[in-house]
Amino acid sequence: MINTIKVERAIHNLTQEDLAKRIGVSRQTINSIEKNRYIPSTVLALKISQTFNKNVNEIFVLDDND
Amino acid sequence: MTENQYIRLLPNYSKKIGVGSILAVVTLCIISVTFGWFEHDRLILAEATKVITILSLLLITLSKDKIEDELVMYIRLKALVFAFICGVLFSITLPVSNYLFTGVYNHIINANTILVFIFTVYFLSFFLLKRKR
Repeated sequence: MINTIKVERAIHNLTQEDLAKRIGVSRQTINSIEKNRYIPSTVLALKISQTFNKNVNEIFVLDDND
Repeated sequence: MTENQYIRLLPNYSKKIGVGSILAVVTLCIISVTFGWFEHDRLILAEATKVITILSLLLITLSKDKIEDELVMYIRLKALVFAFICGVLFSITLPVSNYLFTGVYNHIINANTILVFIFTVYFLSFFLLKRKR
């Protein structure tokens, strides 16, 4: 699964720390999600999409390996 | 993730209590050996040390991290599974390695030895996986 969190963060001018605070996780968790080392739960994915005012499938996209 | 989806853990300060207890027990042991305290009750001291150490390690294991999110929970689970597998392998290989090196085959293994081994592997793998995240 690929995601566009980094792009969305840049658009909204948010650091990893800012986003982490908004959704109640650690900065390292945001970093892991951005680098595709960790796939978040549905709740966390919804929180992230809500922060950027977008649908979940606009931020998280399935790739050929899924 | 809502609060009820997490495994219930103790507050973060429990970790400090656990570490403090271990340090206190180790200090007490060193002092008692140095000054010859509990000369007649050495067995009781040894047993008490074992029990307090195991309980303290359990307390540290069950305490929350400063920021306990779903990734930390996932890492915790991975570390626990790895430690359990290592514990099983350790309990199987210990009598064999004892036989190879000492020539004595003793299939009875002290539970404390395995528990301390499992806790050690758990802490190490949890720490390394957390650094790698």
